[in-house]
Amino acid sequence: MKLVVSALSAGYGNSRVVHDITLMVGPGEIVALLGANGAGKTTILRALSGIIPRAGSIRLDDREMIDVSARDIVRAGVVHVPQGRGTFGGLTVGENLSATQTGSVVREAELRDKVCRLFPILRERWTQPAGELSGGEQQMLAVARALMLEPRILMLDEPSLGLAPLIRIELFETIRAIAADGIGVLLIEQNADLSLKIASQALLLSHGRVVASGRPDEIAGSGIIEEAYLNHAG
Amino acid sequence: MPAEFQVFLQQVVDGIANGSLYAAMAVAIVLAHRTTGVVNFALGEMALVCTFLAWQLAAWGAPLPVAIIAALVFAFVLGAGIERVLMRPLRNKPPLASAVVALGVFLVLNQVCALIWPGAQREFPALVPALNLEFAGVRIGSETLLLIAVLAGQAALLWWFFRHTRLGLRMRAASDNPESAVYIGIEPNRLFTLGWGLSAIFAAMAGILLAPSILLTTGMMFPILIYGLCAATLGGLNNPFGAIVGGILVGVTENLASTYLPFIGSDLRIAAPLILVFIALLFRPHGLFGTVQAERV
Ligand SMILES: Nc1ncnc2c1ncn2[C@@H]1O[C@H](COP(=O)(O)OP(=O)(O)OP(=O)(O)O)[C@@H](O)[C@H]1O
Ligand SMILES: [Mg+2]
Repeated sequence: MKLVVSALSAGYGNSRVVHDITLMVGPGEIVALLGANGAGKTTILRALSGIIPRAGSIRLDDREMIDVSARDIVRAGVVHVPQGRGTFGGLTVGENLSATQTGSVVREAELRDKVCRLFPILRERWTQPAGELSGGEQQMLAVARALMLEPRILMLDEPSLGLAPLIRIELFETIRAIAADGIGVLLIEQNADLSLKIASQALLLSHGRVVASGRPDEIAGSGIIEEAYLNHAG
Repeated sequence: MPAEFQVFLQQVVDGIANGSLYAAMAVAIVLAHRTTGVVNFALGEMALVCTFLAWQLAAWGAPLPVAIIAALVFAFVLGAGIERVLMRPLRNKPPLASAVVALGVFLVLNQVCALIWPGAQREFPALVPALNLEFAGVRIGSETLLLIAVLAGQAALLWWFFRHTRLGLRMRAASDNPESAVYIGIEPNRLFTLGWGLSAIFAAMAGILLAPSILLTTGMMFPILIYGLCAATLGGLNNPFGAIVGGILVGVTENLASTYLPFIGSDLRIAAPLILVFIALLFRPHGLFGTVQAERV
């Protein structure tokens, strides 16, 4: 499944925050979204998952999604893991995963086994309330919960925030494995070096606009990243 | 068995029977509160309207079970409708706004009831044939048995629904974190409306269970609402099982206090559970089984 976004703009209330965004995520691709704080990265993901007003075009294969509701976007296979995890703290790990399910019980069990192979720690914590997990474990639960929805496109907003360096590298390996399974990944990550290492494409955002896009080596070598981050600060 | 002990047991059994009414109302309060964070003061009068409706249908000749089921269906529609029409626009406004609207609904429903069914007090048909059983010197009427059976049924139903059905699980997820629920394809608003509908069914059950033992009046549900609020607060405002335990504790305390504390007697009955709640909250501010709920923003 291929996500093709063109001329997308979105914002909050009457103010537009991102303008004229064009991007593409194909099966198995990892597309990194880079930019300084406040550049509009999270806003783009919110627009794609249908929870803020948006205009332009969001095509999923041949289907236009710009007017589709948040719920139907999830059903169509575009799933967003929000910034700051957002697990259900009062529900157990197992319940967090089950809450995603509407289909058959057999399928649920298959999916559960699959995500537990990716994140074995979840099995150990199965009956514990999610609110009692460590930050890293909650992050894994958030990703696992999204995978239970069988996404074709997975959007991750700073999944490694607050993780220890070793765990962060482990998580990135897992993201790579998820993509290798044929899922397109749209990844926001503060650590540009790390995300450029696993990305197949990268977009650099500044003040709500795409200022550069291309293969990671093109972007990384050009000095344009530093410029975008500095420009914003200055 | 010593006679004093029999008296004690009798009071406990009667207390559990009363407590099951409070438990039903407390469950109603908790179901509405944990979905939307609003204490729905109108639940007592919602139950009142439904109870009168069941009476009316039975008076017109409908078989009692049919009349009761129709009234419970009406309760669901009423509860869901109030949430959808009056409460949803107030979401994310200060909680006092919703509480005031709920009080308004309380008054309107009470007046509507007085208008439709004015004057003479009405007798509600018995739910079960009168029977008096005795176990070890403790009298248990068939009404009492019914109340206790309903209480057990409520507890089992709630447990099954919230632990073992997908819908119950999704309702818990939506109340736990509505913003996050959206990301997994849940529409919290729909589930909140459903939660208020279910809540109203429990309230209506309290009314219908109470009805056969009194004459119907438009003031009949007010004490049940107060006891229900006590029970819900005692058990924890976001835990339906706590509400059931709270209901039993309030019912038993009330009965024991009025038997053994002469200055309480039958006039001050409500004081005892209130004192119980007060003391319990000093030690457990979120109720016996309540958990700290993250503030909704
Ligand atoms: N809920 C909101 N209401 C109004 N404006 C918002 C809201 N959320 C974000 N904004 C504004 O939109 C702009 C882009 O924010 P966004 O969260 O998309 O940035 P970001 O690139 O994800 O930043 P960060 O790296 O800090 O997460 C900011 O100027 C911010 O002030
Ligand atoms: Mg962000």
